[in-house]
Amino acid sequence: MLTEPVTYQDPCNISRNGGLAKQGRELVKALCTDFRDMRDNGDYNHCCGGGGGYIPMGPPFKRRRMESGRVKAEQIRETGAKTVIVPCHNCIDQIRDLNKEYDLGIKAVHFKTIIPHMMIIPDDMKHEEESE
Amino acid sequence: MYEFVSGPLVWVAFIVFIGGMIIKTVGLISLSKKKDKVVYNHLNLDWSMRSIFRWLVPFGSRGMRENPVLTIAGFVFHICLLAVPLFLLGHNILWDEAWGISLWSMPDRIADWMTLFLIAAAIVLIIRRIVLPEVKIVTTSTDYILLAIACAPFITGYMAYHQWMDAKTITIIHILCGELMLISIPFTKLSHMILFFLSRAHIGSEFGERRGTVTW
Amino acid sequence: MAEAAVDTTEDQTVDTKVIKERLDLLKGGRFKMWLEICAHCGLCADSCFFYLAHDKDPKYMPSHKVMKTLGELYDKKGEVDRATLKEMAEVVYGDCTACRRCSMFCPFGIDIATMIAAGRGICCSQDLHPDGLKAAIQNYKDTGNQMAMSSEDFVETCEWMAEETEEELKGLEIPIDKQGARIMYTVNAREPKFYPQDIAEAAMIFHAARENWTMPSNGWDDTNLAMFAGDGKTMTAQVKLVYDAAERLGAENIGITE
Ligand code: HEM
Ligand code: SF4
Ligand code: SF4
Repeated sequence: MLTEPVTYQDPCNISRNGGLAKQGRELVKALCTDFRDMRDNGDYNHCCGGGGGYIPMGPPFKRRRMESGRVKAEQIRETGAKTVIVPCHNCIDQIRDLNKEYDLGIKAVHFKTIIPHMMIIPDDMKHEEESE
Repeated sequence: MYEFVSGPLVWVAFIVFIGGMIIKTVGLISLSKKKDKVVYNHLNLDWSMRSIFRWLVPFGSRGMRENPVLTIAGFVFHICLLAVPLFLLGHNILWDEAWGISLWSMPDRIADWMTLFLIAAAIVLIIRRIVLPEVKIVTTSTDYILLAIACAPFITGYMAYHQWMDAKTITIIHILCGELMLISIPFTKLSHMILFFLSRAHIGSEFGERRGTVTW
Repeated sequence: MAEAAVDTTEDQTVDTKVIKERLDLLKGGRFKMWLEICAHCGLCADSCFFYLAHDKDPKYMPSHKVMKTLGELYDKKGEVDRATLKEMAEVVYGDCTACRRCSMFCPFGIDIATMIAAGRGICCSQDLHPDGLKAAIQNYKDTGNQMAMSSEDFVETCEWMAEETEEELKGLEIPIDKQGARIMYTVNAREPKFYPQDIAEAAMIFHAARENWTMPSNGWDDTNLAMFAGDGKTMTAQVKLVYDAAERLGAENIGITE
């Protein structure tokens, strides 16, 4: 279980355009003890600021991407979260860039980064020497 | 002059308005059946109705709650715009004489007030267009012209009722303004009075039926 | 004002015939209706993070961005010069991420993002899409993924990850091209290229859940930057590549990475 404050980024194509906002939250709540949703969350969440191909458009667009990402940076800062769970490869790159740009002091992780550390491993999948 | 304006020209106006809107709506739907086939894969009645309803009741959507000035002005404007011409005693007497049909009619005093409310609401809408930068930047001269076209029948109607200036001339101008408004509906953004329902049905289904998310 | 970011070449040509054809093709029911009925009411402004992040600079309000691009193209019937089209490209690529939030705040539910995407299609037809996307599109065409990774490199990366991860979870495999799996898992090409650990983590979850899964040796990149560029042909080809893989392997579902 994560005990530090956690927030969740709704990727546009998963929440608003994917209809999975609720399921994402259920999963987050199962993984942490201090979940703090952003202002404007779920279907209403803002784009990370790197969507629609903005990140792969490359360096000429970086400055603008950081400027328009201010809204997301502020949303994250307001929650006081230390970890942001981000179920999207594109959003996570943007949020890590924002972390540097706006000095948010957060860690952005995928679900799949944290689940392997918390899941219950079936006995037959444990190697012998690992019997803790 | 009065006979012509209040006789054949009324017919012309109604035919252009109703015929125009039918042609326009049917045209758009058949065009979309050819070019936007995807739309029809997830058209859903329930989501369409909810999407329309939420934006038809005052403050039914988050966008409206966050913009109370536009919401109040917009609803006052539209309610008066539809109610006054339909339920005005004078109009109903005319229809009764001409075609033997009439609707419930409201007391003149209420119609009078509603007209003033409509004009006040229109002034608020105009001020918004001038003072809010995000509205100003998208405002075109057509927006002002159409607001004027929509208000003109009310202003002239008020003047005629209160016998300002030459009542006969004002009445003729009033009828002409009403006809101008009807005729402009199919050819301008005023066509939203029908297309509102189509576009809301589309986006409601696009978000709702396809993804289970809301648009209000 | 941001610096120009698209098309830094000196090319001055525009094929207005192609633009006109595209405008015509696009002018289906929806586009026509949206462009006409927009009340110019400004309700969509506050919903857009570009607008908010630039201290409510009106030039970032959604409706304006469409009027300045697709709207103007229709008004001018496609007769624009390259300089104008370049300005439009800056807007459609650089001032909107097509997130669709504004559609939730518009009284008519006008789909700004879809119209911006149409504007991208037109810019792309004149080769005005950003260089980063051009490179990715070439990679999709050549290799079926945006990072130009060969099938061998991809499979090798998976094998390497499987080997490393088996140390943590006994019996773990990353099955490649297995027939009849319940889930065919696909990834973002940046994962095998830069973050192979991501594939290992997904594999651990699948394995612990005893999932019947596989990854295809070809058609494993589920990103579609061609779509963002407005290149419909490459977009369709890429989608087809992934679907064909699922069909070839008889997979029941296609799983997409986070
Ligand atoms: C009956 C169904 C109608 C519906 C559902 C409808 C809906 C709307 C909506 C949602 C807006 C944008 C926001 C607002 O200003 O409130 C609007 C604006 C407007 N409508 Fe309507 N409308 C209808 C009928 C009409 C008619 C019959 C007219 C005039 C002939 C009209 C004239 C206008 C005008 C002039 C505006 C722009 C207001 C401005 O300048 O800000 N509407 N309508
Ligand atoms: S779709 Fe584009 S214009 Fe609309 S809110 Fe998102 S970024 Fe802004
Ligand atoms: S909210 Fe809708 S109708 Fe109003 S300006 Fe924006 S796009 Fe146009």
